[in-house]
Amino acid sequence: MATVRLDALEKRYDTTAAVAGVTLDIADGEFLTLLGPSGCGKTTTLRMIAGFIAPSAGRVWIGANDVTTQPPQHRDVNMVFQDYALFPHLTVAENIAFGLVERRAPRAERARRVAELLELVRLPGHEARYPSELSGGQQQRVAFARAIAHPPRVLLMDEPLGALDLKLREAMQEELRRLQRQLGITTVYVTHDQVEAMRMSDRIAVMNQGRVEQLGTPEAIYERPATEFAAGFVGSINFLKGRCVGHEDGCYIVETAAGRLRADTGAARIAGATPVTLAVRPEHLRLDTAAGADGRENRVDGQVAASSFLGNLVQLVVRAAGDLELRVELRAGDRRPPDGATVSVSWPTAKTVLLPSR
Amino acid sequence: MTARWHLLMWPPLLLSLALLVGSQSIFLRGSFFADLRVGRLGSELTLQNYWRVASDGFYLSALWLTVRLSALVVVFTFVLGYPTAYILARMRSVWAPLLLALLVATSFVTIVIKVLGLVILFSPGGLLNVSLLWLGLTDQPVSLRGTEFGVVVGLMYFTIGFFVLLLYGVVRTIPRSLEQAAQLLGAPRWRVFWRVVVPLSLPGIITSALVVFNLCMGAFTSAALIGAGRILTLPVLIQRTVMLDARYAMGATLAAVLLLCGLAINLISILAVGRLKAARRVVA
Amino acid sequence: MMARALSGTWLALVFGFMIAPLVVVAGASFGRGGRTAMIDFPPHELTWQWYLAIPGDQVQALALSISLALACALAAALLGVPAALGIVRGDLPGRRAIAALFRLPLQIPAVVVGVSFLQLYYIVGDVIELPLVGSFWGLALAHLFIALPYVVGSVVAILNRFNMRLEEAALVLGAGRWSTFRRVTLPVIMPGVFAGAVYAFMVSFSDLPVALFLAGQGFVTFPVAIFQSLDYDFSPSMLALSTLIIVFSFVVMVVVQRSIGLTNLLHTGGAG
Repeated sequence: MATVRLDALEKRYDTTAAVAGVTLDIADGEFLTLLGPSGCGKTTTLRMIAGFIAPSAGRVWIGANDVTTQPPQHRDVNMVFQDYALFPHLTVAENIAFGLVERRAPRAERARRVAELLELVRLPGHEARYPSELSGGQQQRVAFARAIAHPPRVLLMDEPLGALDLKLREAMQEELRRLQRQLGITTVYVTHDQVEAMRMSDRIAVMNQGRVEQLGTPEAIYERPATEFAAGFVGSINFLKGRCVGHEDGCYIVETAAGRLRADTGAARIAGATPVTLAVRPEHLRLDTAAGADGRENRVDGQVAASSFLGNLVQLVVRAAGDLELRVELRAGDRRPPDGATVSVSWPTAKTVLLPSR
Repeated sequence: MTARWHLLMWPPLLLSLALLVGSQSIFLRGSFFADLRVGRLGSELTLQNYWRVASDGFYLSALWLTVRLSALVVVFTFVLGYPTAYILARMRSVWAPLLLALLVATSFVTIVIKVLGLVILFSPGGLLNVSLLWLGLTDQPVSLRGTEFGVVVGLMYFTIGFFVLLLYGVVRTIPRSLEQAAQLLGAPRWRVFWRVVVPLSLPGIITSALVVFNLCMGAFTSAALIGAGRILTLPVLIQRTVMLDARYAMGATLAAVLLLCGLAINLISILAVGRLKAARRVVA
Repeated sequence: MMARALSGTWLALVFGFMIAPLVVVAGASFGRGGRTAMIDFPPHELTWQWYLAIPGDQVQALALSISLALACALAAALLGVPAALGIVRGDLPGRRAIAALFRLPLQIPAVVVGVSFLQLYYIVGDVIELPLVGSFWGLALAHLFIALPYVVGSVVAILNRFNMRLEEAALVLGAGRWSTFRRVTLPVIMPGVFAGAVYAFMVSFSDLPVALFLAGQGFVTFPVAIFQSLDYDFSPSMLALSTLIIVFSFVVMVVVQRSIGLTNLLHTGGAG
């Protein structure tokens, strides 16, 4: 097990930068996820840690060693690939033992380890099968077992659940997380699925255009997003554009098309009268409540433009002054106003986040 | 990640090139010298051999015969092969893989043995002639050896399996959903075939047909075994000119003509398919 | 239903047409044989006699054909794999042109290959004072020349579909370059190599024109033997041998399909 340190890592292709300076410190035993849309540089970053891609600039440290120029086979990392990359000509047992054979482990030792790992990933008795005879989920487990057969110092996973259907995916998320905790292997995980990232990670690095937009625990990123991109990529959120006009009682005051609103938390120091964006999650919005007398509530009036029933909740779109659209989530049991009804929407200033405008 | 994979390629490439250049240059060079028969060549460069091929009716008719027979084989192979490839490609029964295996297996049996079987089948007292005579369809045995018809049939055995396999691959790349969509739009089955399957497989058909044509132009075995010295296609003529008459320069000239034909066919095929694909891109 | 019956009939006719000569050869080989066995189909009474009386020179011709084809397939595989690796993995400019160079021998009619190698061998044989014409290695080299493109084509095809993640997986599992090649790359492309080698075997085994030029006295391949016997002294034992070859070809195909699947063989670009 080891820490990983990425120091101003860059990868340029001709004039475009796939990764434009990523600096990250990953703790021993941590589960860190690189989250972002396709093309954001997350897979390139992962492959630079593995050693498949040489960085254009910057260093990669594993533990106390600078491994930037080392080939993959000497880095003592391992990887679970998106398509698993199981060797089609080898059995499950031979796949898992592949790295042990390279390390000249004795035959009996290999057999013992394979049996132990198959027990761990809940596939005992599958030694003699070939990868083509396994289901997607089973192949995934074998790929994981192969990657940890000789415990690597760092485990890399590149969208390992991307090919599975939703139900299996959720089960495997829990299982992978359980195994990772149990073994305590430092893990770097790549995904574009924010729910998966939230469910599994100790910390998430939200990536966009080759940079880390925000690094933090899932809670921090969800509750206190640092940028519009991070706020929009993780969960759904309402944005209200405006202009910061002042600061009083620990609150920022923002002039928007829908009136004057307040935000308790701000991502950056905001100078007077700069364009800003307010962000608030739909589940914090309520209908028809009286404004807080202490001014700890924001309030906007509007008409219900659309509503959809989603089982456990109802989603409303409320159109307010200045063509502002607000997404409101109500619990399914709550009273549901008809389309076109005039409503007033309110939410606590404590749940309102002030972001610098892009 | 800087493996020098290309180094691996040089030994086989150099061997292949040495054999290619060595054999072809020595041989084709001979075509530019006068043919003094019994394997001897004149000492001055001359185009007289080419002039002879271009002016002598004997050689011209051999060339024409080769082209004509090859074209016939293409037509017959297409008529038999294309529907077969289509049916096989769209077949969903357990028979499909079996038939495909049978097709490949029969294609892999050497043509020499197939020709042997054909000769037996068409021999004067053979099954086919006995039945034809008995049915009164003919009053004298149909002969295969030494006839153009026989050579065409023999060449078909050389090409058909191969042609079906090529077009099978082509039809498989046309999504079945396109046909279903056309049917839902109200087209009857044969119209679907004509308006969807045929146009989409046209580049494949043209390439395969030209491959077959090319194969036939250079085919020796069927033509020699069935032609029995009476049907002199270009490849047979080359063999006889060299082996029986020992006229190397003339043989080389004929070979050069044959190679040029092959080259021309390849060029046409590249241009035709390129054009078709370009046209399709404009439509799309 | 109509369409199904129609297509079934069509397939029966076409496949009947294609297999007919093979059935005739096999059937006639069990016939008693009249003045010539060729006319005894369907056979009037069944006999094994031709299988028991295959003359030595025919066995010799068959043995020569098989050993030639084996040598050709082996050599083509040994040269074709590095060639294909160089074409696909070597990042040289003009790789397409190099691939086309490897395919060039397919464009030369076999007769022309035969005559031109005959002349090449005369000249080279004079220089090195070894008779190449009528020799095993001379003929094997000519067959290698026409068979190599098939192996190169089939291995290139499978390398192009090769999943590079497999090699990366081997690398992070601690395997070095050579070990990765030996334990992962080579076994995964083996079906393509095998398919190409089967092609090479068949190309050599079926060849008549090249062997016709390069054969010598007492050095005759099986197709040449059939060619000669059709015109001179046809013996029914030839049918028996041919039947054995048909059976052998079918067995090879079954093995190929079992081990690597037909689709691999179809994708090999044997079309050239």
